Amino acid sequence: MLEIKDLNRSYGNKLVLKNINCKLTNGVYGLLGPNGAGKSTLMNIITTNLKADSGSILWNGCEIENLGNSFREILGYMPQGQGLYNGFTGYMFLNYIAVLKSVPKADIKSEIERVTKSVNLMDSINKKIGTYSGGMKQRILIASAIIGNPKLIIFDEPTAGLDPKERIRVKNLLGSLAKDKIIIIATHIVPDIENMAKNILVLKNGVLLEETSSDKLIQKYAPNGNLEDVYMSIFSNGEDL
Amino acid sequence: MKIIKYELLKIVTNKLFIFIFLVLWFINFIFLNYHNYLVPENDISHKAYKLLVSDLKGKNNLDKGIFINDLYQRAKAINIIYNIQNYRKSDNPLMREYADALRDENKEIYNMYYEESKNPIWKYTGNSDTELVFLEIIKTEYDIVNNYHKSLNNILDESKTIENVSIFNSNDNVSLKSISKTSDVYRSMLNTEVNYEVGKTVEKITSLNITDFFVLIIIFIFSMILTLEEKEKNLLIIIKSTKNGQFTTIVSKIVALFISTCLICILFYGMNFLYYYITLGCGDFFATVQSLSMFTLSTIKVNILEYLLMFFMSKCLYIFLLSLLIFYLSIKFNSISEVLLILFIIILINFIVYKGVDVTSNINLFHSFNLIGLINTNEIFRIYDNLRFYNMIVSKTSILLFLQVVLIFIFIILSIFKYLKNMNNDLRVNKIILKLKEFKLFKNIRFNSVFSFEVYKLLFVNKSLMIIIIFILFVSYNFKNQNFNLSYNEDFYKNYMDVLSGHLDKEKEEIIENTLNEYDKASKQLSEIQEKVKSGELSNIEGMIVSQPYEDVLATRSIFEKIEYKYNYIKENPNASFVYDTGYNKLFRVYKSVDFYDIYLIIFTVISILALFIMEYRTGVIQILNTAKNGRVKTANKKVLVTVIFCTFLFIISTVTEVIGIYKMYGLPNMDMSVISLEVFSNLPSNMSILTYLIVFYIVRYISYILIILLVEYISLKFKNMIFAFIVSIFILLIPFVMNIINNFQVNLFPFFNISLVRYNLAYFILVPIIVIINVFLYNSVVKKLE
Ligand SMILES: Nc1ncnc2c1ncn2[C@@H]1O[C@H](COP(=O)(O)OP(=O)(O)O)[C@@H](O)[C@H]1O
Ligand SMILES: [Mg+2]
Repeated sequence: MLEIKDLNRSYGNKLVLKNINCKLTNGVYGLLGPNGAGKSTLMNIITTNLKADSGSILWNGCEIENLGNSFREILGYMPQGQGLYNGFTGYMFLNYIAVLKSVPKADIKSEIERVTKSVNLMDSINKKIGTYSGGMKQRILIASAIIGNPKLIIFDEPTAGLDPKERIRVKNLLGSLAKDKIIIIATHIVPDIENMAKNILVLKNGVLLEETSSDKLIQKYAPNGNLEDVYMSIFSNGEDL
Repeated sequence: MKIIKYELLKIVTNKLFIFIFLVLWFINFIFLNYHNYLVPENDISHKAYKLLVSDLKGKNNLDKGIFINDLYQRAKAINIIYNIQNYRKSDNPLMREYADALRDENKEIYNMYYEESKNPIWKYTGNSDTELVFLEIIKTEYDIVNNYHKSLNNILDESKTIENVSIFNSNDNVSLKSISKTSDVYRSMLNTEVNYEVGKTVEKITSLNITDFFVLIIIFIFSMILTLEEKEKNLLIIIKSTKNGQFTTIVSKIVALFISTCLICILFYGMNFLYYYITLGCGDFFATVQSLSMFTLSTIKVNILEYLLMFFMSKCLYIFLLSLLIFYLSIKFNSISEVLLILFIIILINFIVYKGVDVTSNINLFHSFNLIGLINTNEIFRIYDNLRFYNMIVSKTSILLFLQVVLIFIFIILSIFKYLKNMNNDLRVNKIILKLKEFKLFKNIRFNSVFSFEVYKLLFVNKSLMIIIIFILFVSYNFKNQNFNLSYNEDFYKNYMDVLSGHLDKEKEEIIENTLNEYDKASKQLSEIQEKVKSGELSNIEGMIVSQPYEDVLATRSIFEKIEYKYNYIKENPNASFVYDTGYNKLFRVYKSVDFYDIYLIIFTVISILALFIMEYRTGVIQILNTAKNGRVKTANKKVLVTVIFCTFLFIISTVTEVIGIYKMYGLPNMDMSVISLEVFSNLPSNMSILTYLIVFYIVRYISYILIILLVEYISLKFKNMIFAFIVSIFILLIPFVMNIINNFQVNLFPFFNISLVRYNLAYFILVPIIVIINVFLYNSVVKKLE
């Protein structure tokens, strides 16, 4: 169980995350918010890429800062932006991530095969990443996030820059992941998480507005519409301000 | 237009670039002011030239001649008078006699200037010796210019003679053609008028190499910013637009490059111009350029001002060519390491061509036409010459300028094509390249440790394997071309030391004493002969013949002084023994704190390890690394370990070749003797052997080298940007070295690289723990930075 308590973070004197509180249990969560809402900042804090100014994050009741590497062992992260080594082959990259995550030597081979299959990259896994298309790059990143079977997986904008066909494939892929873990998908694109996320976290200007199921959100914000309408009703007047 | 402005703005708003630019500009200014102190030519101040220039202003050539001649005669006369007076005061009766003879010989000027010599005014330099040197320089210059037409006629006559002779053996047709072409050109110069101008100002303005060096650095950073920065930040996708738009973009980039090249040249060379214009003054800018002694053999028909403009434009041409080269390379290659490497190879090839092609060979075109030869812009214009390319002969000036322009066009076209192709390479057309890219050495290999991945990243992804191969080739090339022959003096010294080698004993003592006696005898004989010549017993020629054998004996006297000194030293220090020390002195950097080996090593080290530490940041993989168990401290540790191992190889290669080279040339004998046998190390403990010292020397060098590695890594992590990290590392590491070589500073800014400074003071050993502490500190900060 992941618990976030009174989390604050600012860049300079600009407060980017304001007093975030929430509790996450196993299942898929959608973190919804427009660009600049603070999604990546929040994800980076959870993944220990950044430090919070105040507040704490607990994993099964323990501060992740104190857990250190034993927290990182159960973590999988797909950052925003396609951070990859172009000179590596896909296989080599997955191999590298497996080593970084200290997947036991004996399991490395089978793990790579498993994740390669699940992201459907068998054909091009031995090609250099530099020759991959945008969608293939996203898929290899997803594969590297799920390698080693982590208990907490975070995807930041997994469909950014993809064409509609690729986007649907990525969505299906995420949907097919086992549900015995916490999965957070941060995005500003509603269909990416529609019908998939158990709960939706709505982040607006650094404030966590809602943490509830999509049905409840629709009831509250757009009784006759869909999730897209909810997004519009929450964020369009925000832009007007 | 807008895009050009945007490209320029990108540069101007780049803070670090501006900072480096200003720093270099400032250093250039400092350099102008202190040039004379750093590389003293003589004591003549700029003021002297300025004063003379203003004295000569408005005079015609004849009047200038009279004016200079009068000054020169006066200075010379007064100098002779001083000499006579000095000789007179001598204790030696012969000298006094000579003084009288000298006075009689110069009676006329003696009387004429005697009064003045009591209290002469040295208008230009303030003292008699310097004034004479100064006026000698000026007079020589004036004579060269004044004899302009005479020397032209000489050239013409000479070539006519050669042409006539060659009618009978006309097998070397090409040189004949060259000679007649040259004489035609010089004939057309016969009606050029000359009016002497002091050459210093133009000489200084046009030949300050350090400014070229600074401009090249700036250009280098600049071209990289225009292309690579963009690539690294993945901005290419944004610019990707219509084909037309791409074309406009690349053309704007080239135009921006051109404009900034000109601007940079104006700022740097303009500063030099203004500085020397103000401090040295200038005469008539509208006199023909042949009025400067430096350019009397030039055949361009321009005045001095026009020449300076031509100089400036040719400089811009060259700099622009170079910047286009770098620009093209950085479009073509993806990583900065590659660009640096290729650039290094290109410069090396140019250097080999420059050194390898002889001026007299039939392809001497390439002696001048290469990146090294072209940097001396004056050489393009200074003397008329024909260059050969097999049977073709062409005038040097025009062909060099023409070829530069052609190359510029070629690079422009290449850059445009490559850029457009890069932009549209989603469909990879070139199948061979694709195949090559697909080629995998490690297809079925799986790595199980962070360490092996760091090795893979360093050697293959960052191409350091290639770098080490090139380093080996480079070092072996250097080694092969090294000249292992000893000079005559060195050979004499070595042979003697070989004989004496080891502890001093009766026998050796005898040898030395005998040699010394021989020298004494010879010099006694010589002075006897001189007496005889003086008294008329022997004629001058007889005296010369008779004294020849003794002079031969004495020729080696000065070399033997070194041995004599050693002999006395050993007598005082019984623990010391005779050791042939030239090789050790070289190895231990006794007379020269820094060698070229050090510089090569540093350059290759920086190029090979710089990228490894930033690649995670550059690629963005750092975000994944941070979330992985082995991604932080362990990765950092392994990275440091891998680079240290890699660089150790570089270090060993460089060290071993240096030691073998010195061993082959001088030998390293008597390693087991006490280190104090090398008398420069007389303050070290006498029970330390040379071998022990050698080991200590290299251990200290090695840990200092590790310090450099860590420093480079620290810098690269600090900047997280290849270009600036490279520049900063080179600045910090190389400039002290280069300064050291240029100026032979004994005070080394990097003393830890040379523990031999302990010969001055044993306290230098304190540096060893200091280096170790700095190493630990740097290591900690590097690992922390990655954490
Ligand atoms: N390194 C940074 N320095 C300063 N401001 C930042 C930095 N990173 C993000 N921000 C600001 O923080 C806010 C939230 O950014 P981010 O978390 O990336 O939003 P999102 O991922 O939701 O688009 C934005 O307004 C952005 O401008
Ligand atoms: Mg984001």
